Amino acid sequence: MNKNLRVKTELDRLIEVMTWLLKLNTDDQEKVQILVKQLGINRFFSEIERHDLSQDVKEKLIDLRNVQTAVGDMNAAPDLKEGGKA
Amino acid sequence: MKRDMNYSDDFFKSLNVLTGIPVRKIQDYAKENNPCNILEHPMVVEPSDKQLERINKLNEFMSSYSLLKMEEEQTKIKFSSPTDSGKYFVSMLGGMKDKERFLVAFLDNSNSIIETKTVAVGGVAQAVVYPRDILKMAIANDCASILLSHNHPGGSTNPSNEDRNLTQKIVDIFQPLDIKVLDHIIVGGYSFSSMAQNQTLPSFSLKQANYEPIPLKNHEQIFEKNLDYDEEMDEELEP
Repeated sequence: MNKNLRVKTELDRLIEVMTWLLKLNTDDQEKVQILVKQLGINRFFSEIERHDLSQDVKEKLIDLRNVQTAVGDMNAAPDLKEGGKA
Repeated sequence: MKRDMNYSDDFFKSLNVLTGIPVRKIQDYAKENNPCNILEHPMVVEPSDKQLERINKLNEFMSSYSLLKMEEEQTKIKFSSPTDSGKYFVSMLGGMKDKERFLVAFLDNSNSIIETKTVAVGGVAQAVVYPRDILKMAIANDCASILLSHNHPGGSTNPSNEDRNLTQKIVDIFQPLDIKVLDHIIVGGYSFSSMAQNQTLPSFSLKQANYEPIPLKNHEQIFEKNLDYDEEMDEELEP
């Protein structure tokens, strides 16, 4: 699959999943979609507090970030059997 | 696989909010296990059907997020032609028929995007572009050039006289500062037109910079006006 098409498909999937998980209304969904496209996924999640979104939506996005960060940190942490500190 | 990790209360709370699994259940599981296992092997917490559905969706999110993050880290969006710019703005404004939006992309010396911002949104009331705000963003980004773009909810990609005048005003402001206005992309439906490609982009500053807000005219009105376009009207519109 063409790389641009793959990214677009993945982005559409991400927005769809976020809409379902966070119960976003149409207006919030559109705002989130535009912000993710403009800023990229990294900046979108690292600058949640700055976005023009309702506090309720921001809190839900922060929940997503918290889980994503914890899982990302876990994946990056050394396995104890591989010499990580106990 | 056991790893040395400390999980915060925020993480437990967030996992609870997103999956519906009680915080106590997550904490109890985390005493002896890695709580991230709940996502990889949901049955360890014996979730209800609804909780399982939410865990699966959360996993879908994590997977999309990781892939997009990786793609982003490998790719820096760079423009080498009006077609690149057109495709980029169509991906953001394509198909938008409800509102008129005006976007500005701030670029570095290699024509790579530093940042793209929405600077005006038209609704029922008329949208206004504030050149002063664009200037502030340009300076904050320390950009070498900018790309302008807006959509025509009516679907036309033809630049109106107002579009040309607005572009000229932006050029008047940025050219003396040595910030190039590379193009103005007009998106209609999923098509676009490029002022640079059509050689209608103002290439030099006409007069002193004017920082007054520029109304973004409702394109439906402009479009109707263009249907009645004639020589006499053209003369009236000329400054």
